[in-house]
Amino acid sequence: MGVTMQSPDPKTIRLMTVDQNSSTPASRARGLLVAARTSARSLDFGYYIGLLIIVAWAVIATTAYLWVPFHPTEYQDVANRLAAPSATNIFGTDELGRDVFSRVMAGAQLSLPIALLTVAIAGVVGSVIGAISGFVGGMVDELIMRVCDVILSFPAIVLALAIVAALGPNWFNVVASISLVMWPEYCRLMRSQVLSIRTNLHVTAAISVGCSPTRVFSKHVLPYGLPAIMVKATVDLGMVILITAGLSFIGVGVTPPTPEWGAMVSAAQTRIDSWWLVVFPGLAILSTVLAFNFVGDGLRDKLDPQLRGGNAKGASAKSMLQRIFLGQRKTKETPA
Amino acid sequence: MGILIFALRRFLLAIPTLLGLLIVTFILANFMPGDPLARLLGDVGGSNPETVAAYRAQWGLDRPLWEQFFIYVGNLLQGDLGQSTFTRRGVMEDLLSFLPATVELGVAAILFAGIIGLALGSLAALFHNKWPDFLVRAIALLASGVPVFWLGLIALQVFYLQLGWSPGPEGRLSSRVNPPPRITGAYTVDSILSADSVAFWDSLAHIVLPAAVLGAFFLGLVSRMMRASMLDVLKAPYLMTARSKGLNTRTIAQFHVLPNALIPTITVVGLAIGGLLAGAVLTETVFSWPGIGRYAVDAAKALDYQAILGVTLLIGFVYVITNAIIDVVYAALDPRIRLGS
Repeated sequence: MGVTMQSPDPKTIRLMTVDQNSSTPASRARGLLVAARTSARSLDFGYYIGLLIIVAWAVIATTAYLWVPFHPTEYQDVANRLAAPSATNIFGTDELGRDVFSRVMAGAQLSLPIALLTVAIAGVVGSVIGAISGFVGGMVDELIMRVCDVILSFPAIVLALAIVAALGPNWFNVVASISLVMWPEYCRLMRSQVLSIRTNLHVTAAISVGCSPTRVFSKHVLPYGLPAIMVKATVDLGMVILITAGLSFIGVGVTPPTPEWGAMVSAAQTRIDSWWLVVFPGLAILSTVLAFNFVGDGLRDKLDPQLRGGNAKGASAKSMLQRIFLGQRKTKETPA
Repeated sequence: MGILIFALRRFLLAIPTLLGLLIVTFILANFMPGDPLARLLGDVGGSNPETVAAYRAQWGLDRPLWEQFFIYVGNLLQGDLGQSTFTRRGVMEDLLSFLPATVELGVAAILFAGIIGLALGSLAALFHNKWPDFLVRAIALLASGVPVFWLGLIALQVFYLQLGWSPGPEGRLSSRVNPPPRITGAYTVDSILSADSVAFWDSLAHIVLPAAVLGAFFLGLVSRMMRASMLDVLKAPYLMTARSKGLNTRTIAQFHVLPNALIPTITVVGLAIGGLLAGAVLTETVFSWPGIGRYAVDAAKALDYQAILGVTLLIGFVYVITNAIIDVVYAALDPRIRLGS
């Protein structure tokens, strides 16, 4: 991948850079970070493993309460508290005698929807504002970009900490505060997509044959901008799971007794000699985050219209799904 | 464009962002639940309308919002961030006393991650697609997804409980060791300066594990970045030129490969400072490290809004300033940036 600064490879830079139009060198280097991730792995293998893990967690999240051996919150066997993993409690029991396995499985039911909802809100709001910013330009653009700069100056967890502390700890406020912190990233990404795509010949052609601005946007710009947003959204799902777990860990996210991975690790903090209380919820977090990272990187490769050949059609929902699941990619490299 | 002009321009660019930070924290302060006056006055004073009016006038709360904002900024410029309700001290005073611990931890983490990450990344690039490469990539991969608070607890489990190599999560020093006199605020540095070997070894032993845990994410980042940019440099035409001129390997590595491969790596590390601060919040909680991250968490739990806003503002401020510094350093290292667009 193009890591050289002065001549970013036009083929790769489109999906790689978060904001190639930004004025600071540091923001340009953010794209390099992404490029480095991609080149660092063999994509396809990890992509399918990741997809498999995500599907597995999604199934667990939707069905866990139907088949877990013990009820995640109500079943408490105090006589059998802090028991090491055994045949009945394969992940052991916690300080109240609850079954850790059941709780870890049930935790998916909370973490995954929170992540999905957060990324959906941040992605849609950010993309819309970013598209406006890129299309309208001028003062509006300038103002939106400055607002983004400001919000991006806070590490997500710190601003979320302040907001959740103000609003009170529950899952809804976690979603609200993380999406509030996250939308500027989508805004910048969408804006840079719009700015670079709208100079393409096919857009000029569409405008010159008299397409309305809405049509130009929805038919000729958005389909090309969407893949980058989807790639970012996938990786961010893992990010949000990490942040949510972190907030719950420090006690301002989802609070006990709700089974949440971060909160479970937090409860185990004073009992590090009972290793199973720490290890299993953590592995759940780690596996989902890594899976989303894998899939995000794989998607970057599969969805990049620039890699798909000269007659790129943009991304219809169908073709996108095809590429996500069938992994058809790199049919022909576009000549630079 | 000269580097000085570039620096000046870059720092001017930071001013609107800093102003924005103030606006955000001011808005947050106004959205905080409960009337701050009711909290200040308690039940008795809060129920008396005359007292409330007097206080509103005294704190400027009867003025329009924009005027309140200027009062807020004015107080800030005088170093007044309000009172913390749970430490019962000024927030500014609190931040200044907790900041050195965080800075010490952060610098230690960056040093750890920087040195090992650069080595691992270079190794991976030199042994491209051989086993050291795969090993480094696996480490980098794990580091990108591991929750830092979980890693901390696992590290404690292994190195404190099982192996006994590390002290437990008891902060910066054992309780039996007296802290060195405050010079810089970093115990490891201060104990050297005051020639206190007991405090030095004890503080060093206490910082290794938290720094390694906090630095883990960076380690992955640095090694991944170093590997990618080094692979890129190794393919560059100027390297072929250097080789064909007959330069020896050492000269090539020292003057052609390293400087060019380091530029993007340094930039990325700088960019991740925000992530470091976020990680510090969690790491300090796990290791009972008395820094601003732990202060923020304690404040959030005690619903001490002035303190939370103080920390938020400080972290945002640090982030904006470091970003500006990194851009300048970057421009200084890479003439293409300051001469180009």
